[in-house]
Amino acid sequence: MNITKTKHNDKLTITVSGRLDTSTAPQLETALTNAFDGIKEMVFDFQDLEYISSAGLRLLLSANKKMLDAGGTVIISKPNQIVREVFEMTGFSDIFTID
Amino acid sequence: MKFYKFICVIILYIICVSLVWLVSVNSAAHKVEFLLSSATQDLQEGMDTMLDSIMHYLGDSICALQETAKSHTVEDMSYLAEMIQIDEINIITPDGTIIASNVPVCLGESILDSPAKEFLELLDNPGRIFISQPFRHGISNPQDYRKYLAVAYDDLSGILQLGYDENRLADNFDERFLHVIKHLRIGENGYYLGVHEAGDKIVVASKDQRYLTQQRLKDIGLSRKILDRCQPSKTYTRYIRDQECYFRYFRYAKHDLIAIVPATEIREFTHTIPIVAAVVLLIVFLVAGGIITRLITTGQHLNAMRASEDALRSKDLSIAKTIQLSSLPDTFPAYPDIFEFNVFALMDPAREVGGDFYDFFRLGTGKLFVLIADVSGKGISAAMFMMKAKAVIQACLTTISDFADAMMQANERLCEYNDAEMFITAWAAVLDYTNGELNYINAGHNPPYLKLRDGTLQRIKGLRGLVLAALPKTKYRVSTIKLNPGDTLFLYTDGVTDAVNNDQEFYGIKRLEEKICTAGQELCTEIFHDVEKFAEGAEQSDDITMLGLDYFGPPRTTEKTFPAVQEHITDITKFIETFLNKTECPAKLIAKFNIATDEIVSNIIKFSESSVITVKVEACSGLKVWRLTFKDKGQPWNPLLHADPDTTLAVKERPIGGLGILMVKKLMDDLHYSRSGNQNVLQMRKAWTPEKNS
Repeated sequence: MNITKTKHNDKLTITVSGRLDTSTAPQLETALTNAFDGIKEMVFDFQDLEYISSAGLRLLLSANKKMLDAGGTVIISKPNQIVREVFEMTGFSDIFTID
Repeated sequence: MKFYKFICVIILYIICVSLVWLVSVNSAAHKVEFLLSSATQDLQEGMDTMLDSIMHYLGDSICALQETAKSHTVEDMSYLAEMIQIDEINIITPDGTIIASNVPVCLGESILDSPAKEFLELLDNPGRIFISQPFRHGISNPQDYRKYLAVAYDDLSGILQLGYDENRLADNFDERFLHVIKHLRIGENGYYLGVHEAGDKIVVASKDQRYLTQQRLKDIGLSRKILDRCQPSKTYTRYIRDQECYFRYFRYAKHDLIAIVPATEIREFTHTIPIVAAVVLLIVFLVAGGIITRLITTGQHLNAMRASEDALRSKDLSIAKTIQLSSLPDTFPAYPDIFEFNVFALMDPAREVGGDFYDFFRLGTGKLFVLIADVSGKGISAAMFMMKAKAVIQACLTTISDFADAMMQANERLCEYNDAEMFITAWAAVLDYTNGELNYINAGHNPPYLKLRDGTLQRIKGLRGLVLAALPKTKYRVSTIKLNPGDTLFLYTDGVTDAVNNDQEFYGIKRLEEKICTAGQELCTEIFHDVEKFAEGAEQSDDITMLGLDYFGPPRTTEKTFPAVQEHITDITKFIETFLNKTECPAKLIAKFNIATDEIVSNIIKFSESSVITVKVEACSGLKVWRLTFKDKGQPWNPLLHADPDTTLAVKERPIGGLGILMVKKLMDDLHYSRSGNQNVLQMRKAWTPEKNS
């Protein structure tokens, strides 16, 4: 899995490629530590994400809670069909903005 | 004036009563005539049909053994004739020449100038099963008096003609006769007797009159002299056994067969009806005032009755349809957990149900029973008999281990209480799906097809036995073939080939064979759509029934044990993914299996505290189905017992746990937990269905 972060004013784009599962989730967790300061919009670019398991969802949920507290939003960008399916079956599609 | 009126009414009353009496007596005569003529006709037809079915069975068996029409020596043919106890066997080429016979003078003769010429029609019309002719004199030997029947060789290389001599039937007469009359009735109290054409001694009698056999006609009030004075097929009156009776006889196989009906049978016409009518008319006349209103009401009543009769009839049909459909297994895939085969069947009942059915069920482990069958007749009686047959066959198969014994026992039980003289053509097989061995029995059904892996089509001919429920003590023999992975067995009933379009053309064997060859995985459905397309909406007179059995052989499989630690999850995923790739699993499915593996393995590590995890992956080589099994030796842990988290809550209330198992449940077709010994066993299955996954 590869993670890149791009910050543009108060917008942070986190691009995740490969697989986001139990073994790779800790990497994303590290990348998210202290990433919320001064951020109003957090975008997860999932264009090259193969799939996501519940370990990854957990991180997204806690990021969403934090951003909500700070009055910001989380956007999931360009998920593939399987990731989209996982979002739908877990009800995550209702609490995230997906484009 | 009043007096005149009274006299008129009396006269009118007498005229009415007399009319009723005349009509009753006339009806009585008609009823006797009808009873006796249908009784003798039924018996004659019964004897003919019985001989036809024996000869047809023998002819078919010989054709199946010899495969093609070719010449044989007179000695060989005589031996064969003696073996099967038939008097004449001729093999005839399509140009009408007898190329083999047990009768030397027949050899080389042509049948074109004899009544046997009709038999050649079998070759122009492969749909006909046999042609039979009534007893007649032989052509080469006019003192022969024989019944002839012919069947065609399957490859249409010629026909086989069998001749059954009257003398042979006369010698075994009582046995044959008793079988035929078993189910024949003459009114309520009528019965049959049989005497030799020159004799006076009763040789055969209906079941309830069996004590009459060995008595003389004289003893019961008839005699040979009286019989000789009577003409066949005419009704006579006589005191038989001190009772006024009507009788009629006909001659068959050197025997005089007499149908007798006591006069009490028609008592209602000669006594009851006139007396009742006189009383009723009296009442009617007494209440003459109300008669017109009454007539009007009766008229309305009749109409109502007619309407309700129609409604009843269509209700009968729908009951029959419901019986038929509801008793057939129709959940597919029928065995999602068995990877060695896939069975599919469908039936489209005709408006007037035809009594088709299919069945399949597992016999112990490793064996599958399949059956397709067609009950003679139509409507509710065929549907009821079909229910009985299905239950009897299933009971016999599941309790008797030997296949042939089970089918023979089923036949015995179906022959019992078969008053309606129904019968069943059936093709049944037991597949040992661990090695592909297929044992089958054909009870007079059209042979099924075997589509091989390479696309070639074969017809499974094998031995053909007599139809079920026809004759007790019928023997059935098992034939065996071997199925290879990739082969498909296709069973059908004649409703498929006999489907017609609006030009009254048949769908036929040729279209069916072509469609089997070109059809894909969903063989039965594709053929059914093809038949529907061909029929252009024309109503079908028979049920359309098919069963397809794909044999895939044992699944491909791999298994490995890993340490149950977080660091090995990637190894486990990789191990599974490699095998899935090797078995051509679509990428979208692999991603789903990867997610499921990640969830399950991390849960096992977290909750069961086992030190190792064993992973097994299986792939069905035919259908695109895969199965994952995880085993661990930790403490009992059933992930399915956890309640699913609420996926509708707002962000802040969302719980963090439980999502993983919910995802596995939704990603897989099936998730199953069991505790086996000291192990947790978790099994999941997923099939690739393009329309669902694409």
